[in-house]
Amino acid sequence: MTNLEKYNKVFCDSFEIDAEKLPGLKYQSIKLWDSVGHMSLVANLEDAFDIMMETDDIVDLSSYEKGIDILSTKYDIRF
Amino acid sequence: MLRIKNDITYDCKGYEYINYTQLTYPQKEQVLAWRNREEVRKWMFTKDEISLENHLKFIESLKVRKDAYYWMVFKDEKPVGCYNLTNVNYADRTTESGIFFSGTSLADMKDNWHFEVNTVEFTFMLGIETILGHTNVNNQFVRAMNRSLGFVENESENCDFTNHILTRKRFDEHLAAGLDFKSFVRNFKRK
Repeated sequence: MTNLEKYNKVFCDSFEIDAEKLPGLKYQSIKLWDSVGHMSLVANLEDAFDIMMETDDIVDLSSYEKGIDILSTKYDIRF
Repeated sequence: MLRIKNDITYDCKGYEYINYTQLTYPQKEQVLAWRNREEVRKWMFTKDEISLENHLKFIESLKVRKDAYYWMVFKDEKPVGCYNLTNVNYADRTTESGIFFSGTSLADMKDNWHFEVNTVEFTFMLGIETILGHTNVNNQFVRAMNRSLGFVENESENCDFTNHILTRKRFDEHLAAGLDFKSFVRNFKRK
């Protein structure tokens, strides 16, 4: 599984949505991405990529695309 | 000695606690607007909207009560939320607490955490020794936040709510071990 596939799977599993709905997905744009969903997303990303995200990155992760940007630039994960 | 006064504006590490009885009319209206938000009401025991008339009557009743204290809380002169102590027991220094944070964005999440920590520090600053509370079982965000502060959950007679308890000693131990926003994230994992 590539990192992008792994990343997409975390989103799909966390928010119970299909992969085609991921582009453009933003915090609070769907019911399950609320404060609780966000913490689950962070926890699942940390487990999937074996990382511990910094506080600023946790609150900056406001969209599907932003998450890719944060993981690639701050955590050296190649997509 | 436990002594809480309505007419004192308390300052705790940069947060100002102004009692409801000392608020201006627009501030009282703001508190009601927060209370009546749908996403707030869904977690409450009483889920109905409160009328302005009843809200003002309630605030008036607080002037003579010694078992309940409600504050609007400010940071850098901006209102950030509300905090209350109810069932204040002066003999054994216990209380129940309730909290509301006004921010809703992702960027507010860290401020929410700092506010929650401050309310606990404020409560112990007043002389309380044990904080008790109830949280809707589905409110996973607040339950994780409580756990990260050291609150211990136990079963409630009301299956929709969990009971939680925090002693000053346990909170001090959590502070000494290092309390930060990341500990909240870690607690979320261990739910």
